[in-house]
Amino acid sequence: MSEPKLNEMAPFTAPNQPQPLKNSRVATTPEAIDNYLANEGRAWFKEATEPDDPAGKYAFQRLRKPLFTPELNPKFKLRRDDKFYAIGSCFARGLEKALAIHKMTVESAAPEFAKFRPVRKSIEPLTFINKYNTHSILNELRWALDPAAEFPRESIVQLTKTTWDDPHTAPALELGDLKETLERRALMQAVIKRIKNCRAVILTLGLAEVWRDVKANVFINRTPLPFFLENEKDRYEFHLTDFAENLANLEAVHALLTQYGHPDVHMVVTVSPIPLMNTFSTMDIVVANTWAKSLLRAVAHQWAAAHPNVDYFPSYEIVQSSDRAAVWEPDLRHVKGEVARHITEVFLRNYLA
Amino acid sequence: MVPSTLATQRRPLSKSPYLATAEEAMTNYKGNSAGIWFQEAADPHDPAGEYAFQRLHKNRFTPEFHPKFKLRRDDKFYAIGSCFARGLENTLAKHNIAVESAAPEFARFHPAKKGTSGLGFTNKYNTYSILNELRWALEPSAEFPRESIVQLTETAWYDPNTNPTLEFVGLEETLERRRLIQTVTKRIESCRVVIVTLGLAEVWRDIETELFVNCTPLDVAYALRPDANPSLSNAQPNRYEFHLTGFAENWANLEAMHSLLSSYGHSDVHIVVTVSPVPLMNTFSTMDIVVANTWAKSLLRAVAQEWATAHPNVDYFPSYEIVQNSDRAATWESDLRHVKGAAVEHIMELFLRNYVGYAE
Repeated sequence: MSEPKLNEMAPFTAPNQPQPLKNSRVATTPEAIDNYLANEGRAWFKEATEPDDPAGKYAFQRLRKPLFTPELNPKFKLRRDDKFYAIGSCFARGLEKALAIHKMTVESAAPEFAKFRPVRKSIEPLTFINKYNTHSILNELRWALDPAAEFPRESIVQLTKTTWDDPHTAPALELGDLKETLERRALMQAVIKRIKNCRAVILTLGLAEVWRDVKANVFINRTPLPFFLENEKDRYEFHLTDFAENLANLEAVHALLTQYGHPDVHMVVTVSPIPLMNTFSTMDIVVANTWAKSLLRAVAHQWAAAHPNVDYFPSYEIVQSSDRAAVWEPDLRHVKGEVARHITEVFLRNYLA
Repeated sequence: MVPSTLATQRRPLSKSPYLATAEEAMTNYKGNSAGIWFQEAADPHDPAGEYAFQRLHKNRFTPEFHPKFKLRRDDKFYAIGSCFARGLENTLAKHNIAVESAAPEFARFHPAKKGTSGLGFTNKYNTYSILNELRWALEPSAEFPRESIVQLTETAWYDPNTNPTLEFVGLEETLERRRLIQTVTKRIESCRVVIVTLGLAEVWRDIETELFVNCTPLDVAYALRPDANPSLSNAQPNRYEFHLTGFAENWANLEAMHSLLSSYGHSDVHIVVTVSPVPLMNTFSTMDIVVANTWAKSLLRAVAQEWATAHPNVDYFPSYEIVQNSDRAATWESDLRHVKGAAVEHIMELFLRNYVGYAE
């Protein structure tokens, strides 16, 4: 007697609408079997199946296409007339553009930033609002939404006689004097506040290596400028963050949006596929990047599993499981335009009612 | 480069498992020849290039790697975990390293399928089943729950704490195999090197014995396809339940393993943890198998990192990264699940070069 191979099951049955696990973590055997039978994308491989069958349902068939398309089973639907808000790493900006092309209202794509001068022509001023880690996403939401939260003014640091730096932003704009730096900060918080009207919030998690301003007792958005690392050695410290603190940050984000956000707010969390540019750990950058994305991917799953109004969207998987040559620009860091479009297309097809 | 030891001292400041001062971080950065992804104007195809976007153009990715400790050629090794552990054993044995987990005793059993090795029977796919096996073998107060062994037919019994690669046999021989697994697992006591390979995060639990098992129970498999074996009318699929495990429970399992090996293992035990790159075959979640697999590997990769960070005698070895970042065609068999022999050799060559200090 030999074990029956699960992948040799009867042909895929026409799925009923697959139900999410009743308890997101535990299912009875009948529930698990229902999941299995209704899931067209349930198996990796089957003997004696044509690998290049373009209609094949097995992963080893689907993974041969240049761009991977996951079977998705969204927890909820979004509406075409919902207001969207994207917060997170640069990947959030890519999604905004694609949503705007589809005539969706995207409140985070604030026109106000267009007037600022970027450090380089190739950088869009809106990059300034990128939030790369869960600490900086949470901070920004807290300062904008929680009346009791006060922005730590002393974390803004003076670089030269005429220039100041706000380390809670992304370094996309030419630095201004203190007055302008504070104006930009006020504008950022005004823009973040618009999240209150948005029924759809998309969070894109980017990095797990995080710097903390010890003096102001606050985590910041990116690596401090080299000047401060050289001259104020004790001011900043470097963290490899862990699962618990990232999950706690996302839970706090959820609590804030529940209290101050849209009464019917829905959150879609994704992990940016764009790798880390450099590491301050002792790890190879590729290992450091895989660790960070794995951590954020695992945290995102657990966060989504805990809340009916949070869902995980697998942009990370789409990129990881597509053909490298079809996905990446020559820097092997930025995804090609058509890949971003593919991801957004999968997103809209699945989430829009 | 040595990771900062200040982490524990500064722990009250933050919950992060690794902290460095700005100065330490800059030292890391300057000393890390593989720390940067991309540089404008660098030639993507420079074979000696140190940037990731250059190194990733090679068919097989080779990470820069700084092991926390060294192993010795005359150390006894023990590999426990998913099927990838068996691949590691083979290569270690070729290099004349003593591998206690590669027990000759299993060779005499009949695999159910030709071409599989009897040793596949000892594969442990999740952190629960690794921990269970270590507890039953090492901890005097831990008792194997005899009632978790179930009767399939009049003559065939099944131990769901094993991997069902052998032909099923009667109760007595099933118990005999169980004793043998525990005898073999006990040999870990004399091994200075333990390699733990994490495989799966979807786990089944036997409600009756309150025990997490090693594989999808056969009762569940038969319930899905009753025509496969009509004699299995006694299948009890409902005594099991399905879990998508979380970070905390996997972490707790690895911590319990560490304390077991500290109490009962080699007095100078060193643990190398890896994540198997071999994907999940089927999912019982509602996720696409590719998404379910990425989730599971990500979770195990993240747990492995924190476990290694917490203990000076635990290190993470990036076999998962090597496979993820190599050219697909050079890495995978046609099932896109099993790693080609040449890729396993590349992984092991790196392992030996870095930990034992020689290469072939």
